[in-house]
Amino acid sequence: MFDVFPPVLVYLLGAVLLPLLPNAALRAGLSLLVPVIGGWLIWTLPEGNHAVVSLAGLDLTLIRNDKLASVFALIFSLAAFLSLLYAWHVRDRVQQTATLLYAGSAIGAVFAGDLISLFLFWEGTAIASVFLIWARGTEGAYHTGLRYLLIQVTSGVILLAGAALYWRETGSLAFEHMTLGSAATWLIFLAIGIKCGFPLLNNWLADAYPVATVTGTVILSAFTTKLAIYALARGFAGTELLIWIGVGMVLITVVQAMIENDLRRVLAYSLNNQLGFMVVGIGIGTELALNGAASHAVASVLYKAVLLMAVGAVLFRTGTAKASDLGGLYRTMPLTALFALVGSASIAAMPLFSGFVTKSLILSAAQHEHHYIAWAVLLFGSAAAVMHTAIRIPYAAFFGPDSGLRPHEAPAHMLLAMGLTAAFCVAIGVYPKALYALLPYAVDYKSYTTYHVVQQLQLVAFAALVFAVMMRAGLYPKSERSIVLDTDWVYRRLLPRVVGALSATMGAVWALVASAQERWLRGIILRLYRTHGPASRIALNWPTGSMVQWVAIVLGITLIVTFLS
Amino acid sequence: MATEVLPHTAMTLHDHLPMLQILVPFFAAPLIVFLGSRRLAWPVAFAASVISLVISWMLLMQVIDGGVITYHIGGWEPPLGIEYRIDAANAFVLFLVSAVSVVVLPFAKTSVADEVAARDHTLFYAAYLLCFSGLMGVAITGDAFNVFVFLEISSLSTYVLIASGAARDKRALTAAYDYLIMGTIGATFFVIGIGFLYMATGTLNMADLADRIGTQGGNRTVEAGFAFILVGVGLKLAFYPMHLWLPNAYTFAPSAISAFLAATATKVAVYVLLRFTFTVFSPAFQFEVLTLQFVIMPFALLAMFAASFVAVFQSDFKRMLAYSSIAQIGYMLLGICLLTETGLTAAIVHLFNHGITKAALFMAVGAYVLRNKDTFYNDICGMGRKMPWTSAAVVISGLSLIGVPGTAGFVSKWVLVQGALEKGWWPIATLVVASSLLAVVYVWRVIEVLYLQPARSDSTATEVPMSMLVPIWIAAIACIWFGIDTDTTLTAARSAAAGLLGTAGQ
Amino acid sequence: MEHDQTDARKEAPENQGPGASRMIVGLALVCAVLFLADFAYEKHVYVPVESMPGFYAIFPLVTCLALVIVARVLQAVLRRPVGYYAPKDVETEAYPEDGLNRERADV
Repeated sequence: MFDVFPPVLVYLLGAVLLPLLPNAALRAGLSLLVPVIGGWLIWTLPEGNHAVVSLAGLDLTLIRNDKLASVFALIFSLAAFLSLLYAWHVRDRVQQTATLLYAGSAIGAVFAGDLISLFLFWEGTAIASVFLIWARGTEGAYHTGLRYLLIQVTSGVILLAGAALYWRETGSLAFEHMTLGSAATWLIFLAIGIKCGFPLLNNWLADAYPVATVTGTVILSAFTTKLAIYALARGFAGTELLIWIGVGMVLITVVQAMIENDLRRVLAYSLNNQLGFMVVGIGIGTELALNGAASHAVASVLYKAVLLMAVGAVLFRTGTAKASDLGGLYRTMPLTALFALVGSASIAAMPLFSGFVTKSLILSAAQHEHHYIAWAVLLFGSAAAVMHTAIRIPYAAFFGPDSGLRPHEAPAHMLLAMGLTAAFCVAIGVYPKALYALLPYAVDYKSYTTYHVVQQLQLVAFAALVFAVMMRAGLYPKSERSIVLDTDWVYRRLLPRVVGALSATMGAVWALVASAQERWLRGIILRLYRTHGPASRIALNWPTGSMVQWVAIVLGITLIVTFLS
Repeated sequence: MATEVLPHTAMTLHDHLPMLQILVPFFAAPLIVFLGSRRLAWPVAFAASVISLVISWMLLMQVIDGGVITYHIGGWEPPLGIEYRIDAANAFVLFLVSAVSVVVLPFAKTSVADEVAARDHTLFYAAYLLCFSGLMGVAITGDAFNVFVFLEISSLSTYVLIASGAARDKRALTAAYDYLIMGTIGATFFVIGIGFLYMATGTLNMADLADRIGTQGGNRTVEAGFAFILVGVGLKLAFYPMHLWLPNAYTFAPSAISAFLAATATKVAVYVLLRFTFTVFSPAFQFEVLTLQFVIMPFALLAMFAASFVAVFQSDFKRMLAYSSIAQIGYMLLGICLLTETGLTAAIVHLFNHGITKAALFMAVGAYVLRNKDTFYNDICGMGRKMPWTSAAVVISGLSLIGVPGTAGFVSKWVLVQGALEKGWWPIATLVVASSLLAVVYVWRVIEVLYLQPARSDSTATEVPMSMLVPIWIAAIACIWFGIDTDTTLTAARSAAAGLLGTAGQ
Repeated sequence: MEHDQTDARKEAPENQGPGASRMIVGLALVCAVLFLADFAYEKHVYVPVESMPGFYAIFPLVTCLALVIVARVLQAVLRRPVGYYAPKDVETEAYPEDGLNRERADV
């Protein structure tokens, strides 16, 4: 049926087989095997279009393989493997299956060569991922999951609408580079923008990610948003508007990340912040910038994963991830603290760590193309990331003032997953050529120049100095048991309030109408039951004579009508 | 009239296919009686059905592109001799009837053993084959009087088949009696109508009739003939308000027979109506257009709602399905009343899609009867867990009955709505959609009973054997298959509709 | 607005221990060295402002200070009690222990 074996099928098969296995360890083992086989398939996949299937007259290209697609598919495979290793202890079949379906859909979407299969996998990621949120099993998680699902599915529906219009306009469904202008392209752009966390479309991200289970958040962090980055790079590279959107993403999330108390939510904002860098890169659209966006996506998946794993391990051991309740955990969780530091160094773009060799591609591209404002904002974003993530996370959880908590070190499989992820962060930083070789375009860029190393060290050191001094002076925003409002306030608080107020004023009138209506409706149903129910004339058994009488009546009518005409 | 048709001369088996289509089941019936063996009855019936299916497929493939096969029985030239005349429309019906028979028979083996007294089995299958060959004959023949003969063959055997449900419920006897009276009146009216036509034209061959009526135009005799034929056929297809025989007949007949009749008998009657309104008569006649639009259409709309409401309030699954059938026939009649190619396509496609849907549902009813003795909602509650495969098939075919996208039922309703909109009759289109909502209600009631209510504590029901499950699922999967692969059915139906209208246009 | 001040207090200067002061001094020294390093090599600048000595030191210093101040102001505006969105929110719920499978993780 297919000329190549689509990697997504491995995940689907795995997801079908997995629930049938009775033993939790077997299931975990199988779930680890799937990304390995999938990764190998992706590695050996030939370039070009493959696995074209015809569905209802449309040709769907399941595999469109080039370097842009394969680098995202590979990092998704790696992320799936690492996060599933981290989740080795999970027994819940639902979470295990959902993870495979989620990762598989993301990989399927990356390889989708047309808008319809992109849409199918797009919705696949939405539906599979919500189970990781619901798996927490609390009332709050259920409602958060519903909000998340609604927004994600809406994104898919907009994508489908855009695809349909696009098809009518161009007669093609191929997912290629497009130019903003028509309603179709705007809709597709908007759909991607929702998943990508564009300003004001991003509230679902920080709302939902920290609500998932310990392992669920790690898994969520890798796929949905990076898939959107891939889709932007594929469809809208070089769209200048994206530079400003990316700048907006960096600015709008930075304050929230500073003052949020839940460390997993801090990381969600920080993730959104880093997406801004990639979006700017895609907006610039040069080879260097796109390489930067792709490589930063890879690096970001890894260091975000290791940070979320570390915070997750803390949550796993202590039952909380609130900065206000944590501190001083390095005493009993030294390895977790060490891995968190590696993640921090990577996001801070310290030399020899992954962020250093990827973020600089985007910053340099902004300079080369004279986008100075964007460049300055990204530089500011880098410095801010040092404060709100790179120093704040280890400080709040592991090194800051002692909370008195003395939890056990993280379990072995979590340490192994964190260790491997941290090792990848360092490896990319030390030997960037390996990553550069996978990028969409040939890389002619030297990250380790004296100037570059010194400037980056200056940036990190001075940002750290500001953090330390401000914290010492008691001026840094305090971590308190509180929540911080975001734009989701509009639909979580304002709209319900407005609707509530409206309904209160309408209340009396409505009650009258409603009761009248109810009486009326009940009257109708009763009357229907009387005329159509089993005991009614119409449903009763009729005497044969009456049946014949009807025949005579119909014949009479027919004859009259025929004769009169 | 259709193209130049060469007189029949060839003698290969292939050329005798139209004749074999009828003869095989027709002679298999007495064969069963002569053999007199209870063990051999079913295999003979099944073999005859399979052969019929193969033949009907070969015929369908020959005419699907708009061709016509004529066959002169005994070499006698029409209008003197009897002519079998096959075009896309009736090849489609032949295929539906024989396919349903092949699917239902394996199911019937277990179901009939449970519901019909053992000593009647030989005669039961003989009657079944007679009914089957009668229905096939109605569809295949090109001679008006021959239609009546085959109609009577199928009707008489149907009365027997329905009465054989008496082993389970004695009321099957009164149901069969009522149907006998009504069916006989219908057949009488039909033959009176043909008599009028013969008076007016002096011929019984349909093609000839069409020619002569076309040239001499309408007169009182022809008009009276039309009215009598319409009412006679209307009785057979349970045209509201002449449907009163149907609920009892379907409810008390053995389940396999309900499945077979629901999927074929009314559909063949619809075909006869199509043949007479479009081939013999034509919409060129003012009286026909008026009758369709002022008599048939209001009643069709009424059927869609009244029968659906009755179905909503039923408490017996099988009876509910019977009323739903009456409502669904309303859709087919509505499609015919549109008098456009799209409308006719909708009617023909719905004839097929509703056939497979109802076959699946009535077979599921048979499965519930086998395990629970009855199909009142009180008896089958909680079966979603006890009989998961049967109930899942009910859900699938129930969705098709509603017309959910992705199922066969959707395709036909979609085309019907399109047909209504094409003519600018959007209130009619709205009514079609609105009545589908009623289908949601009555299907949901069943699903709720099956899945959301606990099983009765004394229930010992288990899943039915494979011999029943496989036919049920073949029909259920067909509901999905023809909901996705819409090309096959739509092409055939469109070709049939074009054939009917094209003939009428000349 | 009510806030739990006990946890905020642990970040107060007097509770951060003597190590903190020494660390800040050390950090300041590192910063000074890095600032001076700017004069020791040739820069390849794309943006004119980069040629300013210590640009990469001054820029984060200024912007981060500004950010801290903005964040403090916004924190005062945007901060709400934990139960603000309750009951349909996770903030007031304890993390469900039974889903963690801790016992299995350590074997």
